[in-house]
Amino acid sequence: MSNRVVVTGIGLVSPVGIGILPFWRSLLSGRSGISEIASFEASDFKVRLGCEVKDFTTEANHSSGRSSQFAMAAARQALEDSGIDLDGLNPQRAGVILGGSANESPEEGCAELVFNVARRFNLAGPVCTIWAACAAGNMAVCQAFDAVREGRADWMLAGGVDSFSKRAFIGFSRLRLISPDLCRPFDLNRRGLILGEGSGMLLLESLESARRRGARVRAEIRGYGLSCDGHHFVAPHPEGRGAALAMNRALASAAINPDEIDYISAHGTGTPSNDKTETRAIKQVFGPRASKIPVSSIKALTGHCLGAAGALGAIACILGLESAAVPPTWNYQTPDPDCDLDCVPNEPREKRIRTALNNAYAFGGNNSCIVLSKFD
Amino acid sequence: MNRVVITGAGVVSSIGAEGFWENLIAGTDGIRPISRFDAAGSQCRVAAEVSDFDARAYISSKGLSFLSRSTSFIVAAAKLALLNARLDLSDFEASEVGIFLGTAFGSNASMYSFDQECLRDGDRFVDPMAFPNTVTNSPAGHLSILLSTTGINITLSTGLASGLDAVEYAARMLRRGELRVALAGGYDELSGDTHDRLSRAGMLSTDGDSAPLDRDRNGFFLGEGAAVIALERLDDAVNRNAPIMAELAGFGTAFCLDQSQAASVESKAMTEAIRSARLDTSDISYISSSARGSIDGDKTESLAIEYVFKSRAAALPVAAIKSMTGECGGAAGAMQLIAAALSTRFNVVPPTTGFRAADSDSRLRGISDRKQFIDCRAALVNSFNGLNANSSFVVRRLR
Repeated sequence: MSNRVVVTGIGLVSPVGIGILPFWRSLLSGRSGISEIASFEASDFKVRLGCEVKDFTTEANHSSGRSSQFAMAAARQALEDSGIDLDGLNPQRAGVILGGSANESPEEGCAELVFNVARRFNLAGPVCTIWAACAAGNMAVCQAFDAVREGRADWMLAGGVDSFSKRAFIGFSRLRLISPDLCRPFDLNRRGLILGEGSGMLLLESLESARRRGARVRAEIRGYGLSCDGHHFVAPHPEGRGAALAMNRALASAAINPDEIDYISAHGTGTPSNDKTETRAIKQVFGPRASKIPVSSIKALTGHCLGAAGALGAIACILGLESAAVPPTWNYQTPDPDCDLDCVPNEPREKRIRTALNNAYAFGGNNSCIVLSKFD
Repeated sequence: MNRVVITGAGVVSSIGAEGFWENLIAGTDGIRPISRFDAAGSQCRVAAEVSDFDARAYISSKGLSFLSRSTSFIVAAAKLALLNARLDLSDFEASEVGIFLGTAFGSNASMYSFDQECLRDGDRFVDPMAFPNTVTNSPAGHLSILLSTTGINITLSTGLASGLDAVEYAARMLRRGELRVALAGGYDELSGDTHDRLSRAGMLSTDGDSAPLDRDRNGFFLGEGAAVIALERLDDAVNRNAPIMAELAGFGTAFCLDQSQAASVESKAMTEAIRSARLDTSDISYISSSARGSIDGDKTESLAIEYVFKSRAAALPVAAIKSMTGECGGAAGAMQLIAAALSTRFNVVPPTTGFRAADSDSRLRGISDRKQFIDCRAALVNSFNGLNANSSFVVRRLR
């Protein structure tokens, strides 16, 4: 069985807005989520900037942790956006895959959060947590894509979540990956990432199911590619070997020609090594055409939302396909000869996008790439 | 459909690495007074700890100092599986080798110790290399680095079903032709905090005398370890003259939303596994049960087995190896799968140590504290949470 897989719902909680419209407006207008860290006492740290979610209203009767609240809210939005009637649902035919980097608390089991989401929305199809650090949101979408494509579910919620944690902040600080001021993807003077948090969720559905219930189709997922660097735990392969393999596999799985890609949502963390090696990987895959493809990173504004990052990137792609606009790379000032791509500096660009790639890479060497297309 | 077979297995457990199978069959359990942390304040002071394990036998000491206990378990188990399968990964493209691991408690132990280090050394002085261990995919990531693999690398969690679900993910990718070799299984390590939490919740046995499926069971014992299976497609395995342990013949999974429905959901997972193996309940020679000594959980699984096997349930050999290995979380399902595959090869079923008699209303008569010699053509392996995820595999002897 090989169903076509479409996206019929999206939902998100991000440092630059909760819900589709605030998020998209921020990405186009350059509103950043960066501020002094408020979720824990950070006065010990010389640099104490982060992209935290603000003005988030906790769901009533919901006392669990911040990650759980973000994931529940994003899932609810995605379900509402899809117009699915949960009451008429056959629970066996729907499931949820959630990605993340680590439990919010070492007091809970690794699947507790996804189990709670499943029970909250009455989903008894495929239910699983994927742990893949910063690639987790994308990899959760890949696993859900398989479930729908192979007919194990009619629809799936899939995405990622992470909440701002002191542990992660200390860790990234000690690894010298955090920028002292701004996140400047692809800029010569980029100095690191800014940590973020949030959740992005997509509702993936078989085209047949979407048609049956007359759903609005936001995009089609054409395929994906996964790989692993097998090189170093926190540093990317210097030639971008694994990243290129993931993109090539994604193109092959979608059975499309590299010439058809007209936008790449980059992993683009703003660390010196990521952006350089990601550029190399894109050039390996697209050859001379690489510099003609708009490649941007939303992390200049959202920060690096870890487990949520891949899903938020995929959502930015979908909104770009729908509104014929490329979200720019903000904070870009000085070109870097090692990142000689068209990174859409500081201004949204009107452009009809038919097919986009969404990259997400991770600690541990995981690489993921999803191919999304406009559906008509 | 590409058939997928097990060509090798490696285990690190409280009852040994190389000696795992011999100890299982001999009924040697690994449950001992806890030495890794102070359990004096806990109601339960025993666990199935991995001792006599020297990670330096598997990892050069240069790379060892920063790796978590979970990572050293998984690397050792993976290397043993490769040896056992007579696989030399340099014969394959790095991108054709994938890693699929399940875990129930993930990096919890590393998170605890990182938090402790931050308190002790101060946030700004903590060792930067301690942080990556707190990221849940760290064992899988380190394994790919040590083995130089660039294929799909997955860490997943579905609670106690994690190990079997990781193996199923791997099998699917092999069938689809994404890989030629998959290393799949699971791991978990003991942590004092998890132990105390489960003990306080009344889930662990307090008197040290509790056996799975036994009518006087009063809780379980935690264990730790790792189990990794080398998987290949049948034709590839035959072409390279690989030792074939068993075939992964069928898989079933079912998610339970309501505790009161758990037995029927578990029976659905078993039925689906048998159906997808194109077998009938009468073809199943043995059940490797996920029972661990829980008062309700074990009962639910017994009932589910009775639903599925009806009148055949009484005579069916059933064994719970958690009586010897303890509850190993993400490693548990993969350990059971390996043990069941070996049962199909050697025609002997491990004992359920400490078992005396089943619940008075149970119809299962095939549980024994002695090993059982049977003609084991196909075994059903259960990995159940009850509420939430429940998975079953059928492994079959290849003729």
